[in-house]
Amino acid sequence: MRAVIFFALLIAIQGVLAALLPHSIVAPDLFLLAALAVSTRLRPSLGLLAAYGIGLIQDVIGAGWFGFHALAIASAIYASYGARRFFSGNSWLNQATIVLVAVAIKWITYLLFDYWTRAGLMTSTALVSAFLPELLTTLLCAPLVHTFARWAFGNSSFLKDDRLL
Amino acid sequence: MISRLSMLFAVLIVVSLISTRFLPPIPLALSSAVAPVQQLLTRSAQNLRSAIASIIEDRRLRDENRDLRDHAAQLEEENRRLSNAVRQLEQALRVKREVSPGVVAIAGVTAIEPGALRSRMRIDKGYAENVRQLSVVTVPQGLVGVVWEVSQHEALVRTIIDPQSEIGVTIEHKGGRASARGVAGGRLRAEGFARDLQIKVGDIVLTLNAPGGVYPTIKVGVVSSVQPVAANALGQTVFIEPVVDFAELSEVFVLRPQ
Repeated sequence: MRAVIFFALLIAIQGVLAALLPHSIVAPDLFLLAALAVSTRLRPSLGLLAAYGIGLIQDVIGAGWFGFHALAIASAIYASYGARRFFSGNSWLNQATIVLVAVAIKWITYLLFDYWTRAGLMTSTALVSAFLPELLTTLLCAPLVHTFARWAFGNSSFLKDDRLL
Repeated sequence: MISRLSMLFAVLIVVSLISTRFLPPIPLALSSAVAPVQQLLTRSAQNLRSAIASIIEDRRLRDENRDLRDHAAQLEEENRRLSNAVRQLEQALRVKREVSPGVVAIAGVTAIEPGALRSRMRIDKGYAENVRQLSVVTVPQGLVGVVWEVSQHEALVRTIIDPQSEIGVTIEHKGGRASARGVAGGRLRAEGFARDLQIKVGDIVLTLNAPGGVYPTIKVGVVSSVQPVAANALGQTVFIEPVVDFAELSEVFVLRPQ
């Protein structure tokens, strides 16, 4: 039940933030943060699939390409699994770096997809006006989502383990 | 474990590449299922944003309103001050035109010395403002008195109803001359009018020759009663009600001694 509340609330807040914030402030990627929270509480393969599923939900809500956000979030989670191998402990700096890597990999996936589909969406203006603000807002919201996830799913047993892969 | 995860990731990549390149976008019918919820959330967020904007605007308008009210109060005060100044200048002009062109100062009455035997007042102008001893003090309505003592920024005026005050008076349109002194009760007593002068109650009394120089005629008061002339009297005696209400004076005009 708590998990349902967690996902429902995150989807609702994502929708509200998009309409509430001024155009200069990009809303944080709560789907990515949800995927990060879920992936640390499942086995890596299941976590990766769960992240892909969360991305698919984002694709359905946004009525975009099937798999666009799904792969981007899955790539971010895959990279986060790799990054955790280089950190020990569960400090705030550790978590912030994981989020940073995840957001960066997500946007790199966007770039590759943009090339693959020839959509022409990823311009330098888009990178500056969307990537950096989203990175900042996502980093700011990460601790809150992390706390919310702890309420919804309990503590993550995988975070204690340095070597996940 | 690493290879299993990487293989799974590779499969997901292939699936996504195929679906994004070769499959159409997600049907609207699928996303329509969540559209009402999205719409509700968007509408709520927009309403919240409008409410916040209204509150901010309301606060801004309140501050602006308060600033405008303060400014209006300042302007009203300034207007009042300027109106007072204009009124003073208009009165000074009137005194200059009707009484004497030699107005040297417009002085405020700072104190009226109470007493049944004396009638004096302090004004807030002195030597520094060209007030001199024996300068005549007047208002547009009529004569007030004479400057008796002067300091740098203050002076003492002896009014015409002071028992020690003495001025020469005449009756308007009828002539005659007499010496008027202040008496108890806030009146003047003029003695020495010619016996055959037809003085009546209500006749206007003007100055004749005020101490300190020759001044234009200034209204002193109105004859309030005429004493019966005794057989051996040299002249007529009348009582004069001054035109100026000394208790109500707030500012006076000091004339230059000629």
